Amino acid sequence: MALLQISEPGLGAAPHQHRLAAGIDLGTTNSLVATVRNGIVEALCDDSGEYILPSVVRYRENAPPQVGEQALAAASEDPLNTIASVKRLMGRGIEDIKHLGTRLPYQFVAGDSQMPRIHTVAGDVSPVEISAEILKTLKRRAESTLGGELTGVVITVPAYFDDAQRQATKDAATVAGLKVMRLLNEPTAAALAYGLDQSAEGIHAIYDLGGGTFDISILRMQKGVFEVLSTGGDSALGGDDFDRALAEWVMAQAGINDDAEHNQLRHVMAIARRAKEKLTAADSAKIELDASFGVAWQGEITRKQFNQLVAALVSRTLVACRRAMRDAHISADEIKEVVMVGGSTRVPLVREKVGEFFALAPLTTIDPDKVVSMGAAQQADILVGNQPADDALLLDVIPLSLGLETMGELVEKVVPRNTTIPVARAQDFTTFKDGQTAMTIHVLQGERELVSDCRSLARFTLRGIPPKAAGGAKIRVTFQVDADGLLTVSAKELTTGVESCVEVKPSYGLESSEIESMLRDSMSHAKEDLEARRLREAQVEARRLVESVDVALSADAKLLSDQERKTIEKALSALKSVMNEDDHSAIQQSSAVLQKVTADFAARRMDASIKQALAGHQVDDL
Amino acid sequence: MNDLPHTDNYFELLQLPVQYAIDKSRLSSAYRELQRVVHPDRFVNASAHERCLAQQKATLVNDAYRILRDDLSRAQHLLQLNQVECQPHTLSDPEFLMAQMQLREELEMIAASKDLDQLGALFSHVQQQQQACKDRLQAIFSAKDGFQPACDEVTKLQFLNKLYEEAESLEERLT
Repeated sequence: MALLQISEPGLGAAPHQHRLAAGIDLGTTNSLVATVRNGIVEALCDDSGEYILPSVVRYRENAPPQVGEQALAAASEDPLNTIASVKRLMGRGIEDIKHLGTRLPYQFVAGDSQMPRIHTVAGDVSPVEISAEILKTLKRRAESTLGGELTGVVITVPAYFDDAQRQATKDAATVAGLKVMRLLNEPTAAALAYGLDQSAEGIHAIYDLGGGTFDISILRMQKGVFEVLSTGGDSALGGDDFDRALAEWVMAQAGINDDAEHNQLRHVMAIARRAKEKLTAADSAKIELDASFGVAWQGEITRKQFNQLVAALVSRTLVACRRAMRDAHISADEIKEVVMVGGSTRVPLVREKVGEFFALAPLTTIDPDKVVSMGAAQQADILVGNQPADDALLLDVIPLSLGLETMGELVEKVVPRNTTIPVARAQDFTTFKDGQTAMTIHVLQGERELVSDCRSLARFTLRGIPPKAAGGAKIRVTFQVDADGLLTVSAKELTTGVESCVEVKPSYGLESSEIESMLRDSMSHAKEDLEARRLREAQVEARRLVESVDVALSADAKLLSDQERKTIEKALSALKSVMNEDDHSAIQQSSAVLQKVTADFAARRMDASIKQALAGHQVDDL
Repeated sequence: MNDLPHTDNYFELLQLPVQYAIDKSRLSSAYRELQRVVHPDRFVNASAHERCLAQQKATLVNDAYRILRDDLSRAQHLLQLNQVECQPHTLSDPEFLMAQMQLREELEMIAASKDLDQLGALFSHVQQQQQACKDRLQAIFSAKDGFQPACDEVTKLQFLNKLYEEAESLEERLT
């Protein structure tokens, strides 16, 4: 496919081709995709000019699922097959869903894994697959607009998402055939969208109230580095709760019980949402229930009444703001700007209370619906390599503490919340019984002290501990969190070196085999099969490797002896000669060889660049 | 608890003088400069090995920054570098321990009385004591004739930090 080549202004002739990248805001209520074109960030619209894709998927018998506006329109008539707000179900088990505080109309069925599935006319589907449908729609939109395949995407998640929810989001992208370069926290994305062009040095608060989640982040922007100081929020609080509060009021007024038919409840929710939106500009809103959904009723609500209904919800967000400031060790008067993100920040009471709390007029110049996807697009453009290397850098944190279960069902924190990632921490434990040969490691996430109050992420057993007296064996458990905020845990017995390692697949996550089979299913209609995909992935990885070794050789050959350079060049040309063939195992083998002979070179280059970075720094000091 | 087995000298990594007194703005700018070159975001399109290397280095740099930024862990790091082993739970300063008990009682009284002014006074009292500890650490480390006395100050600072945290969570509950 022909690609339209556009180079960034100010960049001149790009050293490599412009890669296509996009930022995706996968929201509870709405989703968007944005990209950087000609140096300008823009949200992409569909054929009918709409930017916003309602995050609603409707499954049909013998027909592909509908996504977005069409699905939303069918929600009232076909509630069981039309799934909205699936983000709330991501990374959740059936027990969690019961505690969501929402009555969901869907029929849940337990699957093979612990992940719940929803029964529809098109079969049982998991939240990951439902989200993947939304992502596929956005992928198609981006690729048809940009006229080529996306190299990679950045997908945003609420800062407050735990490990299971992040992993589920990444799995959904894999199922949709997208390469995720980074999961980016939504408030950080918003800060990027605002911060870069306004060269805003100082401390900023990002208040993000979306349809289903609330996030607050405190960031420091200094010389192009965005450092997240703290983040907090509530993963089950959002504009939907405002609608629900108003819907409950309407139901009480109209004499509707909460065990009414699903489609009637949906109708009331939809009416409540419309009234809420109207109250953004108007002092009162008329409410009219349609008789065809059960009860005919007419009434009116004033903004003042509405404010009373949602005041407690708004206060909950401010409690989280206070905690985030405490974690960042700053006071409200140090905050230079407050950025408002998410459609729910249009509610006047929210703006008023947030303004009072920070004693600042909140920033609302970028469309709160688009701002997250725009920041994500910017980060995607940087990560894919379309922008000069010394542009913005993001230093993010983990939102919730990670810990281990210890005696008495208590949680011992290993990595406290708001620690900058990537991070690795180790903790040593001893055996507590004579002759103990195995130890179960239970990994938890959350701030509370009791195991039952935290979220269980994974449980695994280290076996083969040498039998000794209690306290005789020493087990070191290491937590590693990567730049996406995803966790790997390993355990090692120190006297023997017996090791056990798990990539923390959340208890409610998918097995890799399940992802693969979903991927296969989703491609059964496409031209390429899994084999072709493997080949292409091997080729992409090989090209990437060749490119990076080429760059390394031309920049830093001086770090190598002649012999070393010859060895590398030989492996390099070997890979170049096979990488365009269709033998994926030959490509992988040659890649592995090149990888191996350049490992030491890469380490030397890294050390040299560290020295150089600080040398420049010292000169600046003088 | 949080130390990976390593012999890294974090001062050297960030090219700062190996001493207790620290220039925090220089520390944070050195940190930013290093992350600019080692952060995994700089290696998204690099080979798998380089990505892994970047993750390790960025982890190390984050750790160095965290340890050096904090007045307590920086002292602990200096003791480690000088191979000074502190014996746990051997603080023999009855006066200090008595003062700690009094402060704790005071905190409990405030929890009952919900007197925020009193809590504010407690905060500044603890802060003063923390500062005194840090000043003594500074004196011990710059005198360079035996770092063993720093162990006591480290233990005291741990006490005080814990108390401060408890006072903070009380404040959170009360406001």
